[in-house]
Amino acid sequence: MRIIIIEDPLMEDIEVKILCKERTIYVDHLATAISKSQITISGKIENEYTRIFSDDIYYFEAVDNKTYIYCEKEVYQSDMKLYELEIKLLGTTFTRINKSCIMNIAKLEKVKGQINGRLLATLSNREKLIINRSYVQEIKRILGI
Amino acid sequence: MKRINQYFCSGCVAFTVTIIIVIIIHVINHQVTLGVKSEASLLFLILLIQSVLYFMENIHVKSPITHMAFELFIIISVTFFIGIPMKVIEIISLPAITETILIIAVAYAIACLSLYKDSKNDAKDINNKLKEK
Repeated sequence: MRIIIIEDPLMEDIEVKILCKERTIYVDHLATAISKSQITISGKIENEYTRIFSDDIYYFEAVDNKTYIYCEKEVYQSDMKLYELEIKLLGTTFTRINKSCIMNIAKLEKVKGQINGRLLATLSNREKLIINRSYVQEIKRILGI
Repeated sequence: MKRINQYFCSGCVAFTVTIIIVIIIHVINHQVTLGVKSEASLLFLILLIQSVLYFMENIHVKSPITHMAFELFIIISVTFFIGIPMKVIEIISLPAITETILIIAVAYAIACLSLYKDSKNDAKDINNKLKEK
């Protein structure tokens, strides 16, 4: 598959055309992935607000009444509470994994069962998070298990 | 397995294994104390352990060993705190207290092992699904 990006200053919005011999499942998947709406979350770093795409977020964590947004390397602070984020991100790959954490399942690399019945999640940036027993069913549901 | 089923299943396993251990201990000590009261006490104990496990799972402790030690401490404290006034647990001698603590620890360990087995199965399912993607 070749990807050609054409820059045109006259274009008002981004337009994507898929040129193919025939419409297959792969083409449909491609179209779905492209058309998937991106949710943006406002994050603060050193008193400067930035728009963060949900795809770039690994997880959210609430510590001492403050909410933090963890990306691959950067950590931002959010003005939103975890429950507000949970509502905003409903139907996406984000899910609550313990009382103080919302994880992006798309960034999940592997999980490991722990002796106390919890799961230890390893994200693609090597960070480790605890998944409580009560949230395992929801993760399985999102993954289609 | 659904969350409530996990606790119910681990409770059943813990009850069965613990009652077998109690029978063995009593047979060795030539005690004929197994009856409605002792079995009801054990059932009370198992229900208490399951309740503590259920309510304590949201405690934010990263180390599993610390988490388990804390859970066990709470279970022993709550069992004695509720069990003594209700006369489910009787403190007659030091060996009796030791035996009660031992039974609590064994029942807790079995319940945890059952939950661990479930978590390993869940982890396997999730990892398989992640590999597919």
